[in-house]
Amino acid sequence: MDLSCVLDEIEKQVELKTPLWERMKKSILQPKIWLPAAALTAAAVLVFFAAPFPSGQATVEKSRVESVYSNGTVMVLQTPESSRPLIWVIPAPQEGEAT
Amino acid sequence: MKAIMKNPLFFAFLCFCLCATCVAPAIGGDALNVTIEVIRADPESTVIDPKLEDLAKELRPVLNYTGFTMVKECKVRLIRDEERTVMLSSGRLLKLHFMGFEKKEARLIVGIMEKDREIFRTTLLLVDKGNILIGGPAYETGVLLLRIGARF
Repeated sequence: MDLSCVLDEIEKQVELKTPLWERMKKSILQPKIWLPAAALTAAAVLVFFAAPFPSGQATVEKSRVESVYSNGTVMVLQTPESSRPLIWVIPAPQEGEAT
Repeated sequence: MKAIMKNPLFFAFLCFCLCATCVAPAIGGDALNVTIEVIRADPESTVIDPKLEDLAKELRPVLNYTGFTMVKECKVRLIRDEERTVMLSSGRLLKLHFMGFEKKEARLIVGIMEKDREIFRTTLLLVDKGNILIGGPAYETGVLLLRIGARF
């Protein structure tokens, strides 16, 4: 009977019975595990959250005016250079107010 | 299982999930950051606030105003369905009501109240880092101009 094989098997069984958390802690503490893991995490976080995604077409989206109401006069215009909405409001004079 | 746990990719995935859980709500979420710049546009003054030079350059040819002064700047953070009021000038209030996000736009209802009377109301669809201008109501020797910007 090969005793070394038996011992290996026992060792395996013992290791399997150690709690999952203990095994994870043991693995985490090994630099060859956490160093690449940390580098990969940093790269993934950078790509997903920090780095802006380059878009194929540089489409500049503008804010829009959906509806307007005024008790006086209102105009919806656009600025000449940036084409952003410009709402010009001329409120109605209040009762008793001179026009 | 043992092999998986010794794999750096497994730990990288665990760490990424942890980061995503913590970072994602802080970056985006359901909140809208609104910047309100209250500006006085004056036809008689030539004073231009350094912060408003770009705006003055753009508006001077189209509007008959030569002076642009920053009266007030305020930032508000709104969550979905939240309403907030900002004082513009004596007796004049700006009401903001954030309705929520639609695709890449934030729907914001903006109203101006003057002596408890609504003189103006608009529904805006604001893009991230976008802004719109509202002007017209008389203010001191000129008019009131509002630059409303959004970040989300």
